[in-house]
Amino acid sequence: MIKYTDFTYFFYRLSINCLLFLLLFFLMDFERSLGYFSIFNSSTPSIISILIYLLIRKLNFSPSNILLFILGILNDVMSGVSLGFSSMFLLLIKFQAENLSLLKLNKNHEQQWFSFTFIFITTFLIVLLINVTVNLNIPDLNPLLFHVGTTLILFPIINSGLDLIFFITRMIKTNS
Amino acid sequence: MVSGKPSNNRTIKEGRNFNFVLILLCLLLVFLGKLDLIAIRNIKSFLFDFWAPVTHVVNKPIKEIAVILEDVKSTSSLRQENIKLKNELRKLKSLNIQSESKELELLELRGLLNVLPKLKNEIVTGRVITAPGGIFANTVLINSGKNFGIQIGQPAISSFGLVGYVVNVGLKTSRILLLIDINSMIPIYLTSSNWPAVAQGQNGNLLEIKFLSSDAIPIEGETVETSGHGGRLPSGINVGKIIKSFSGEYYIKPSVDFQRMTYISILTNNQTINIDDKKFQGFAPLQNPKPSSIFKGIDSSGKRKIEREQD
Repeated sequence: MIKYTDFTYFFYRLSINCLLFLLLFFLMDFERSLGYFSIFNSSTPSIISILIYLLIRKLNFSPSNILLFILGILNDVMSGVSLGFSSMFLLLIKFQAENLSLLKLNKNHEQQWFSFTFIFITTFLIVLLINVTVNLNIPDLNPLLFHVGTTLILFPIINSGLDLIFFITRMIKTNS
Repeated sequence: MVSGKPSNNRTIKEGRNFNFVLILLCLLLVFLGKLDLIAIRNIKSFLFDFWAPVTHVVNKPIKEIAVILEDVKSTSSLRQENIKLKNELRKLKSLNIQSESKELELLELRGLLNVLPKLKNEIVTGRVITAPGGIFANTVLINSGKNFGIQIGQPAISSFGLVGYVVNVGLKTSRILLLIDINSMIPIYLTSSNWPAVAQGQNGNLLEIKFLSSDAIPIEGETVETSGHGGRLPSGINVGKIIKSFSGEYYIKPSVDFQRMTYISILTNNQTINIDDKKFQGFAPLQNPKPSSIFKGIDSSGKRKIEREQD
């Protein structure tokens, strides 16, 4: 029997979240630096939202709220956006992925894709609306559509990649 | 079996509430950030000074891969590019001869009219350490800051023209708001049709022309330069060229390729206006024309100057 106390459980969660923080931080930096490629001239896809969704829905691991908040603040500082935008985006993705019971469709890849599309687009629209309200100006739609489009195209690729990794590890385990 | 782990239902409910509180906090931060509080600005400067080296290290390999891919792509069109460059060189040689004679003429005329000499620009050049572009902001970070005398509001240029202006300065880094950002507004004038206007970014590739007179008819392909109105930016810096959209609206295509910037220069001797000064009357482009001010496209009485071409 593993006996957890509140204290040990706290440190167990803390260490996992610290590792996750590092992983997501480097992923966010990678996401920003994709802008150097001419194909992502106008905007880059949101890989982090795909990963957070998959962590919650596929791996049943919920990243901590504080972690997402700090990560978003750091991303805002480094990309020059008003503080709070990225944090809000990440927290909204988490909130929707965890709480929208109607969208908990996990049977196959298509259902997961539809569920992600709904969550991503609603979150993006909320953040965009706040951005328009704050700036009192409607931005060019091309980069926004490109951002949404590339993210939705990348989702099934990353999802299938993750399945492939699971399949290979399972195969190695059974063979050994 | 696990014991001591907090109750699942309780943690889910608490987590949901905390998530909601943090979302509200983010919303508050967004509006506070818009107030441009000094404390928030200082925290931001400290954080990007601190994280800049990490970002630089992470970005470096990806940037190099992107450069290699671009190089590979360009090798396929080397022959065509060579022919194009030879043609351009021929044109430039003939233009160079013409400009030399015109420069002499201009200097002579300036001497006759007793025009005030332009201040020699003092430049600080920094390396770009973050990728430009983003869906909500278009800014870049350079690796020089207060240690090189950079201040908020100073213009940033590249060899092609205006890049933007400094919006935040740290000890060793500065953030530059690019022309294409939605919050960027630059007083400009159209060099051929001679109309003043304001260029506003749209977070896209083109700039919108605002406050252009309804009488104005921009010429497609004409050069756009900074007008110097408001005293924020010096006049005569190249911004871009006028292009006409399918809908018949005019836009400005910036001369600078924001994706391929490696170095950015800051004009450090450009005197920025102190907004706290009681005499300061805002940045409106055509406000209170002074007879001593020499604004391009505007005469001493504040009216539009019409330059007729000599036959």
